[in-house]
Amino acid sequence: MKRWRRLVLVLVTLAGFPPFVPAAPADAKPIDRVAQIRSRLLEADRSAPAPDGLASGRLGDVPRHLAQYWRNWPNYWANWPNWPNWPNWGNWRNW
Amino acid sequence: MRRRAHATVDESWCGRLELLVLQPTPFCNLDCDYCYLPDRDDTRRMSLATLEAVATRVFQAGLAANEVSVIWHAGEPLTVPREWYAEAFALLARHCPPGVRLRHHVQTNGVLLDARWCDFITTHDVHVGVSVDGPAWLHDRHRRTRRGQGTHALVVRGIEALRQAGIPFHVICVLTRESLARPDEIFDFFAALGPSCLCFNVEEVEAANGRSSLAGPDRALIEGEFRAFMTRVVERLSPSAPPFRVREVDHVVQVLRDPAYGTRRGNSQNEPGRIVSVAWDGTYGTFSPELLGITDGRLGRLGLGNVLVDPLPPLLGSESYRRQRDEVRRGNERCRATCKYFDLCLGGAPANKLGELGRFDGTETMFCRLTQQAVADVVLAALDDMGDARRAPQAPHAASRE
Repeated sequence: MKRWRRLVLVLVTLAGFPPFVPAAPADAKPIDRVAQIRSRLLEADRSAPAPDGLASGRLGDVPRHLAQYWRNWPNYWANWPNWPNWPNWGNWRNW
Repeated sequence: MRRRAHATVDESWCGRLELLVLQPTPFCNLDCDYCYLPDRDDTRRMSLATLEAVATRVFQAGLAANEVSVIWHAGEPLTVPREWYAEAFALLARHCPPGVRLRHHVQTNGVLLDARWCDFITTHDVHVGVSVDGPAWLHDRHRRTRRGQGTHALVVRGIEALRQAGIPFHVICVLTRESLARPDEIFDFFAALGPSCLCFNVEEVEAANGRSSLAGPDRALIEGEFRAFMTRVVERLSPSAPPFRVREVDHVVQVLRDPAYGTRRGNSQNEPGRIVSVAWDGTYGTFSPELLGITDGRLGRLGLGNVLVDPLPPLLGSESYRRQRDEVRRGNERCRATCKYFDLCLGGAPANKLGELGRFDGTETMFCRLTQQAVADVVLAALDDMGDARRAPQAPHAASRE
């Protein structure tokens, strides 16, 4: 049973590992930099106050975020590190 | 097994309907030279029995999503009396199940708007869109009466009635070649007019309109002019206090903000069942609303049936439906395989593919080069510049990946 648990843990870790996004050359057209532009847009959104409080980064919101992540985890990783409606996990002072 | 599949309706339509386009009449009191609608001088009107059949089929089959926009269009909707709409709205409300919210919209040329229509619009909470192409010299070149007279003054008078009644409205502005040289003049005109949202349509080659001033041998030049136009519009949109929203800019930003960005495979115009268009006589179709009433040389009539006698959704075995659906799907897959703008436009509009390429399974059109690719380039470049200007120190992830 423990072996199964370990296997599941390894698979989940591997599946969730953030994909490598190569940086586009500086002279690329905007559409070639869409991933970077989107990253910055979402980052700006995240740092702005969220009307619904979802991105507040409060500890009390964690169960809600986890439930949201559980429903939608492939999209979250596909958009890593830009997770809409996700608290700024990197900013520990918010916790 | 095969026989049973042929006799079964396409249940994938259930719960997907977002946009119900109803044609109360094909008649239009104007004769704009770029109009894509056929039969604009036909004054016949949708009967309430036909509308009842639409409501029964749509709601009993469970086609509606949680929120359905009902757009009264495909002719000039205000040429039909208000009393007819009052009965029509009541009829739809009677059939609408409790969990579904209906929102009524009219897209009008604005000529017939007056205080009585404004009362009706306010009473029934109708969302209004008015078609205006900009200042009078530009508008009156294309949007004329059957006698060839300009309509700008009448439209501005109609919009004034809306403003006096405090009714918010959006505008649709069709861009032709001559518009592209005047972005500031057009922007200033609309800033003074006061719409909540400005939507730019391009003069499209589709349905009954077989030519466009934006299509031609000097394609690169036209695209350059269009990009310059949109760049100037975006420059004029002050982030702190824009005079109105611009639909094209909003669309790109909304798509980028979508958590499912990069995973979607189609849009409302190329996924069957998300839009249903019904003509005055009950003929219905899906995909782009502009396909309503069109007969194609190769595919035949693009209507999928008539709500009075045929099932809605259509039968899986219906030859007409299968051919359209499969061809649209092939076109979508080709777009996805070949176009780097796919995640933003999700496969384009079947009506434009058919109008320009003669097929649904084609890929790039003038419509998508201008309204999708050029607009995306302009908006992405603007976002890129904004990001450079305010590169946030609290954004370590974004900074570290550049």
